[in-house]
Amino acid sequence: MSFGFSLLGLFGLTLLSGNLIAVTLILFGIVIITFEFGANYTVVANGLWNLFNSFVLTALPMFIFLGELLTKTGISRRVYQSLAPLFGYLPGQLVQTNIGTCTLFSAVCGSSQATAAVVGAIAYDELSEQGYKPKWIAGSLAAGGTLGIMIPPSLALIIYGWWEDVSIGRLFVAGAVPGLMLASMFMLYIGIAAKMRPSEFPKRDVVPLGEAIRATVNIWPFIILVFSILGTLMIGLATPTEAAALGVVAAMLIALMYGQLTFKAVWEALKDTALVMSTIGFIIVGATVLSQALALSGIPEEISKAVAESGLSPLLILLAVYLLYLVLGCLLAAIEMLLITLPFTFPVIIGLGYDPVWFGIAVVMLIEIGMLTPPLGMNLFVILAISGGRLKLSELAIACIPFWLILMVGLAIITAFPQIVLFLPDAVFN
Amino acid sequence: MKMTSRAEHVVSRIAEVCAGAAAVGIFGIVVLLTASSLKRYLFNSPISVTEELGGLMFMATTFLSLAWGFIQGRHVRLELLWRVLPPKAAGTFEIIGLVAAIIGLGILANETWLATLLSYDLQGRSVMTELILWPWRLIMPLTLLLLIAAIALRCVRIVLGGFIPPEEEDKGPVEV
Repeated sequence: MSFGFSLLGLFGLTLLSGNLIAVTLILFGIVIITFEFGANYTVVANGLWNLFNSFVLTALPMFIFLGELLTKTGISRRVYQSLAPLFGYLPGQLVQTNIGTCTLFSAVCGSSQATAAVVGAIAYDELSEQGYKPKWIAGSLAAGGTLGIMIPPSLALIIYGWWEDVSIGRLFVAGAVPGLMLASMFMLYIGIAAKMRPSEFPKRDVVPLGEAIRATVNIWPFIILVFSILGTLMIGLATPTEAAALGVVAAMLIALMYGQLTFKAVWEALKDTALVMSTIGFIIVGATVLSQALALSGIPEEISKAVAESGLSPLLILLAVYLLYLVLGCLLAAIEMLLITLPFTFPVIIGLGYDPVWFGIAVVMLIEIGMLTPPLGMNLFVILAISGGRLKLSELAIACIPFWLILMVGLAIITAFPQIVLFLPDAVFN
Repeated sequence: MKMTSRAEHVVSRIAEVCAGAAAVGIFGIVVLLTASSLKRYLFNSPISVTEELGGLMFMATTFLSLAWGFIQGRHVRLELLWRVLPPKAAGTFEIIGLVAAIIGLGILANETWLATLLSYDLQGRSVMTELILWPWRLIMPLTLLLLIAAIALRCVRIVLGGFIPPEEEDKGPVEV
């Protein structure tokens, strides 16, 4: 009884005190260990050491550094400017360029916020000056940013794979098709909207096709960068961690080729990477403490057993898990949502016979949806910050509704046809 | 108040230096992984220490940047309800939350310190390449203590100088 009250009190305190989420997880873990195991905290230190001292996780700072490097050296801007003439041929023009650049940038950067922030910083002002409606600018950037954690490399998939011991290589390959499918659906929607409501999309002059294709020559080094990461992974030349390191080196060489590689840019990128890692790392510390306590208590197994014995259909349970993620997605960001929920949801879903790789992709899609869901959808805040007060949260949330619905349709598609997720990893790895 | 400011300055500088060391460590991981990958491709023999040293460097860089992340306001908070509280109540509850944080992190710091002492006594080494482990383990309690110091000083500042609203504290969006 006092155990339950302690956890409830702790939750109330967390909400009222605006406490750090990582600290809340640590405190939850400590309360469980205190009540259930007589305050024997030795397991916590061992758990932290064993989980943190992980070679697999070294891919995390590598991919974050890669994204920072591309931003600090101006490579991202070059990519955007090179793609814009070609996308000018599609209805929606620069709005389509937003999705295209986000898709390409997602293939080297594993974070949704970073993708939305980088492309947003380049595109927002330019599209505003060209007279595009704010809802199209902001909606496409917030939605395009979500591709960052679906299209490999993905920080969320690295953490999912590491946490649940699922092959990160398989997860990366599995994320490619759903990621491209979502990007295509976003572009199709923008294209249809541009045709139906042309007044909302200012018409830009189209450059001759030959010139547009020639402009894309500028992004060939970037394509080489994508290959050095995804290509080496898919043909089995490199592990995800090695691919990340190769990507960093390739990005540095490209920046050097463009004359943009300065000590200052590299140092700034490294410092920002350290800051982002502190955020993610602290959440991992908290989740590790809680998961150790939960593992000892056997609570996840009991929940899994209770669900299995409930007689509910697997689909109904899966939908309940989806609902849980959709609700939590309004309140939590990607990594913490993953680490808090997986100890409970993973054994339940895998126990029902679902494929762990498929579930990883489904969870990441749910996280993408959460990133567009107010009040705490992280991509909304990134775009709000970039808009510099020109947009209200409510306007942005409304602008994102169609993209939110597209993501829901994407989720329904991969739920109904899991092979969309699994055929590529099966083909590559079997 | 002057002493608090001085202490904050000292803790902030140490945290910044640690974050700088973390940044260097991240570059070290790049160099290590690249060298090992190239050696594996070109000479079919990776650097044997890569996996163990890479893991240790990851742990070190993450913990070294924790306190700087707190000082820069980069750690994710659950502030939905807290933001709508009147300033006095928000300040009071934040102090309670920070004290709870100090207790929780204190337990972690103590446990990781005891594990470091045990590793030192046993002269524990890594399995494959026999790297000595206690200096790496020591990073955990020391950086947790630095984080505790930063949190405690934030607590003292609220008690002595009053509550500062979150929008004035925020240093930028959280990138997770």
